[in-house]
Amino acid sequence: MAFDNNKDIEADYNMRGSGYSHHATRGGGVLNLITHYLNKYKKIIMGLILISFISLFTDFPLIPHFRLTSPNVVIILAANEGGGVLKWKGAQEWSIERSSIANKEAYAKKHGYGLEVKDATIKKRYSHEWRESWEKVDILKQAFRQNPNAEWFWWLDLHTFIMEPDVSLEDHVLSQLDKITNRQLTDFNPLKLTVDSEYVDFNSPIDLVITQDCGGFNLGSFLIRRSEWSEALLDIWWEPIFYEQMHMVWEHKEQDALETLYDHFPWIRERTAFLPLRKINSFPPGACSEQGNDPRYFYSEKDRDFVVNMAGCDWGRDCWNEMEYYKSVSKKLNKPWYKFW
Amino acid sequence: MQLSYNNNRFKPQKTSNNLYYIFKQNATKLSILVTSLVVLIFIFPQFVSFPKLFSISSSNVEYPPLHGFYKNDIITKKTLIFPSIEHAPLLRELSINSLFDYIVDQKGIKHYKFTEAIREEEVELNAQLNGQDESQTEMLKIKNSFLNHGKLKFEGNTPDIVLVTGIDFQKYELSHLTKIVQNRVNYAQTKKYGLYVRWLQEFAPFFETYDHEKHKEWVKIYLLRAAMYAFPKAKYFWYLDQDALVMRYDIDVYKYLLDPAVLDPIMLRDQPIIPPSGVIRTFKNSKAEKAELFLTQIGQDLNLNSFIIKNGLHTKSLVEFWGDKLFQNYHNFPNFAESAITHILQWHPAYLARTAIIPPRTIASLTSVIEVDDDIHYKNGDFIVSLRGCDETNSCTKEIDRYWAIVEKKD
Repeated sequence: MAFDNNKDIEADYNMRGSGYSHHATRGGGVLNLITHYLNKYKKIIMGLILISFISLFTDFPLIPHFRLTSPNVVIILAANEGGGVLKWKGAQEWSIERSSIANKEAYAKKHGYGLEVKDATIKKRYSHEWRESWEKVDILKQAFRQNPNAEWFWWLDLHTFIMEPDVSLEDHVLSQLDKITNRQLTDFNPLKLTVDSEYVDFNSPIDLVITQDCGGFNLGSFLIRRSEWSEALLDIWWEPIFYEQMHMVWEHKEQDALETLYDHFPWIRERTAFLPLRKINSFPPGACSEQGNDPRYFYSEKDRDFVVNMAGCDWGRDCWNEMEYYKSVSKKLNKPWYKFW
Repeated sequence: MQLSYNNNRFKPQKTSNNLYYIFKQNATKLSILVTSLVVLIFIFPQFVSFPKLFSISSSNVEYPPLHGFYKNDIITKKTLIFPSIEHAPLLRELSINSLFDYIVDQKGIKHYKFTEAIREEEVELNAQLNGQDESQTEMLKIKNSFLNHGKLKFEGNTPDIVLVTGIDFQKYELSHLTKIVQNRVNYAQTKKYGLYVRWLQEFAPFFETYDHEKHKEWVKIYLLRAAMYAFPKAKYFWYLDQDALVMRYDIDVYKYLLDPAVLDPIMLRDQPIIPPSGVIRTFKNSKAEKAELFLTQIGQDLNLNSFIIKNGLHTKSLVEFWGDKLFQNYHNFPNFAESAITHILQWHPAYLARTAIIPPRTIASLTSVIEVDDDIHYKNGDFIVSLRGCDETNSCTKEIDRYWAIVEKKD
C-alpha cells in the first residue's frame, strides 16, 4: 500500500515537473489562452466546478457521485444462509433476503463502501464431522483477496438491518475505536473468561472489533482489519485437531472457536476489542429473551441504535415479521422533511 | 531575449490581477453562489461527507501493562541469563514436590501452583529462630533462587541473537550441566549473543498436571515464549536443546545462515514436510527474506533439537498456538511438540510460507560414533552437534564428554 502511494506521488511530481518546463518555453501564450477561455465560459466553468464539488464531497441526491479511491470499508453480507440442499426457499425468505440486501446496498452506496454479498449455502464440505459451518472464515479470506485495497471488513449476517443509513461507519466506530471499545473483559464478561492474561501488549493496534450478547461472543455483526494479524487469525481459526476435540462443545462453530482462541492465546487478546452490543448489533426482544429487562441488549428507537440483528429468528420466531417491522421503523425514523408521503 | 520578454509580460502578478478583476465584477453572483451552497449544506447536513482531517481518539480505559507469568520482573543488564548450576544436586534432592506448592485432587494427581519465593529477610529471620540451621537456610536460598529465576528480564542494548536452552537437573549431573551451559556461555560471549537458560522443572505450574517425562518436550515451546518476553528487542531466538553442543565458537550464525543472501541458495524449496513422499511441501517460490522459522529435518521428523525463529508477530502467534493445551492433549502426537509443528505446517499456509527448511548439517549435525560421510551426520568442522536420540542409547553423558573434549581442546 505504502509503496503504491509513493508511486502515485512520484508520478504526480513528474507531471508537475513537465508542466513547469512547458510553461518556461511558451507558457505565456497558453496562460493567455486559458484566461481568455475562463472569461468566455465562466458561467459554465463555475457550474461544472459546483457540480463536481457536490459530486465528490457530498451525497446529494440526483447527481452521480464519483469516488476517487477504491473503498476502504467493505461490507460482507452472508446471503442464502442455511439455504440450499435442505429445503426450498419460501416467498418470505426471498423477501427477507431482498430487504436485507437492498438495505446494505443503499448504505454502501451512500458512504462509498464496497459490498460483497456472499453465498453461504449449506455445502457438503461444511457438513458435520467435516467442517461444519466454517463458511465465515472462507468467505472472509475470499473477500480479503477480492478487495486488496480495502482495510476494514464489516461482516453482517443476513438477518440484520442497518437502522441509521445516514451514520457512517467511520463516524460511528472506526474514527473513535480506542474511545468506545474495551479491550479487556472488565465491563462485561458473560463467559467468565480470565480477564488478565500474560504476554498481552495493549499498545498494539485493534484488528478485530466484536460484541458480546448474553451468551458470549456474537459474530452477527463484527469488524476485522486487514493485517498480518488477521491473516494469521483466519489461518488458524479452522484447526482440525482443535475441532476434533471440541466440536461437541463448540455449538456455535466459529463463534465458539473464537472464544477458545481468545481464551488460550495472548496474541489474539492483544488485538481484539469489544464494543457494547447495541453499538453495532442491537437485539430484538425475542433474542436473549430471558434477559428481558437488561437494557444493554435490546434495540431502542429513542437512542437510534445503529443496527438490528434478529439473531436466532429462524429458531421459532418469525424472521419476516421482524424484518418488516424494523424496516418500517427505520423508514419512519429517517423520513426526510421534504417527503410528505 | 524573446523568451525573457514573454516571461516578463505574463508575470504571475498580472494574472492574479486579472482574476481579481473577474472576482470583483462578479462579486454579487459569487456571494449568492457561496451563500446558497452554505444554506444547502446546512439543510442537508447528512449529505455532506467531508474527509475527516482530524480524528482525535484516546482510550478512556486504563489497561494493564505487558507482563509475563510472574507478578513482577527482576530487571537485569546481563545478557547471559542462566541459573546457578551448582544448585543442581540440591535441587534434585528437593525435587519438584518440595520446590512448588501443590494440591492433590481426589484421584491423587498433583497440581503444581505458582509459588512465591520467600523474602530474604524472612529466610534470615527463620535461620535465627531455628538456631542457625545452616543447611536448612541454604535449602531455602536455593529454592528461592529457583523460584525467582524465571522473573529475570533483560533491559538494555539488546543482543540481536539469543540462545535458548532448557536444562534438566533430573537428567544430568552437575558436571555435565556445567559443560552444557559453559559451552553456550563461551559461544555467546565470543559472539556477543544473549543467552537464556532455565530449568525445565520451572515450568511445572504452567501445566494443569505436570508429568516431567511427558511434558518436558512441550516445555521448550513455553521456554521460547518466555525468552521472547525476556529479550523483547532481540531479532532471533535460537532454541538449542541441552542435548546439543556448539562445536565452532568462531561462526557468526547471522553471516553463516540467517542473512537472506546466504539463506536463499541453501533453503530447501518444494521440500516435503514429511519426507520422502509427503503431499504438503514448502513453497517453490518462497523468499529468503520472508523466512521466520528455520528448521532442519531428520528422517521423517522435523528436528527440534536446534531451530531458530525470528522475533515477530507471526512467530509469537506460532509459539503460543504450537504450545496449546489442545495439541498437548491430542492422542495421536507421538513426538509431542515435533508432531505438533509437523501438523501446523501442513494445515496452516500462513506459517508454512514463513518457514525455511534447511540442510541438517547447518545447525544440527547428528552425532555418530564413527565418522560417516553424508549430509546428516557430524563431521569435523561442523557448527553444531545434535545428540538427538542419545536417551535411547543411554549415551548422552558419554557423548557430551567426547564432544566437549573436542571443542575445548581445539579452542
